[in-house]
Amino acid sequence: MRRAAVLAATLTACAAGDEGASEAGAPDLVDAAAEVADDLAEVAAEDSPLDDVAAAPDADVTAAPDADAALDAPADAMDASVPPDAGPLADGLPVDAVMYFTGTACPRGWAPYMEAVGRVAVPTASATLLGVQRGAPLADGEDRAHGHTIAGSFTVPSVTYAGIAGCCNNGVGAAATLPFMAPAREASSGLPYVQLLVCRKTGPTRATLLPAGMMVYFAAARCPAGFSRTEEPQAHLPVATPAGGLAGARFGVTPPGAGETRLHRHDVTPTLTTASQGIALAGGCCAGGYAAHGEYRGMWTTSEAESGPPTIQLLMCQKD
Amino acid sequence: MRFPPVARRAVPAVALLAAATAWFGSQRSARGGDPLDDGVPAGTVAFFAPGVMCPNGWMPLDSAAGRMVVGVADPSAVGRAVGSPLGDRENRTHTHEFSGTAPIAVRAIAGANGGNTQGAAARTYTVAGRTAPAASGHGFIQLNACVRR
Repeated sequence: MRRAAVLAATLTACAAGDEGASEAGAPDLVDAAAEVADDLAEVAAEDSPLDDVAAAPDADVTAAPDADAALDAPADAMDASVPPDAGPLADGLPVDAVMYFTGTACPRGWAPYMEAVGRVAVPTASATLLGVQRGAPLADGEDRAHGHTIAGSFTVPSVTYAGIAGCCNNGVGAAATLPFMAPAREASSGLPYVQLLVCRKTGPTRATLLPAGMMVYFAAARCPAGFSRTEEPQAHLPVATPAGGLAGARFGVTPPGAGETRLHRHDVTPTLTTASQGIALAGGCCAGGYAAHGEYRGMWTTSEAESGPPTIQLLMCQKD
Repeated sequence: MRFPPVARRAVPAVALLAAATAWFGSQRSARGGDPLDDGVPAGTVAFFAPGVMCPNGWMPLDSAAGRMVVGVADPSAVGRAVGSPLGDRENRTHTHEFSGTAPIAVRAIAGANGGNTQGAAARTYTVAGRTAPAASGHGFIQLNACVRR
């Protein structure tokens, strides 16, 4: 109802404002606006099934949902951040919102958010992690690689010859436990991403009906009024749902705890295959300690490494 | 400008229609309907809660499907994609090549080379291969990404 009254008043004001610029038509416009105002007043006076819905925008900027945790408590400063004459350039996103854009420049009232450049924003699960960055930011188009180290040993058993150890055939090897160490070459973890402009809301805000269910990052400690903190995405890396995919599905491993670095490693089963060395001696007593020809397989794991994208932890809030 | 009588009657009717459209449109937007002005700048990309499809005025951001979003500030970097998109709930794995050496030392014997091949030659052997696949060790959540038109 309030919107109808506002619209009527706006029309009247516009028509009246046009009076000075128009020579003859202004009175008609004023009359027309007055009629519209009357019509709208009638509409507004009627009971509307949408009245409850119409109350929503007020709730967006003033209501404070109950919450115990500091992170869940809505900020109470939104009203003060909404200047009545914010003008058409103001949008409805609250101050400190951090959002992505497909454009090449931040909209008016927004500024590049350098803290999130080269990083994936992770919905934080802990107030102590707000703003915490992990890893060096990605360069443009960088497919960050990582490596591991492989270390283990091959046990090469012995054979004996019916002969005498010593000079001078050096072709045969000695049985031993052979240490093996090698780097696993650097490779990408294969996690795909798309680069989008990231900006932080700094300008004025006007009260609008932001879409319900919209999830917004905030570089702030609390969700603003009209937003609530949701638990599901916390500490998970958000992935845009692929075609035919299940929105809301969580997968991978349990997210790391506060401050925990999530590492991974690989199983590795290298094989050492020897070359045979023919000797003109029968097998048997008593020249021992010679390496047996064969295939020897190790069953090891690589060293651990971190391979996720660089991140920044931000508050994620859902529009009520 | 003076409107003829018919037009004078038409003005409030048209204005009323426009006003009513705007008003009812705004009411619908509160329920995820067609927002004439939801207060979100064009080009804004946002995730939406599970079960919430892109509202009217928004459309799925296909270029992000199966991908994470990395922020950039360089205009020339906007829209660049890296890697192939994930499938539904795909926990992407990767492998590493490796190559190293394992030396078998000499143990001399008083005998000529011959037909008994049970022994291994003394030399430095190359051991190479590929690790088993492993995932990154992270947790993910799929969320609908939409862009404001």
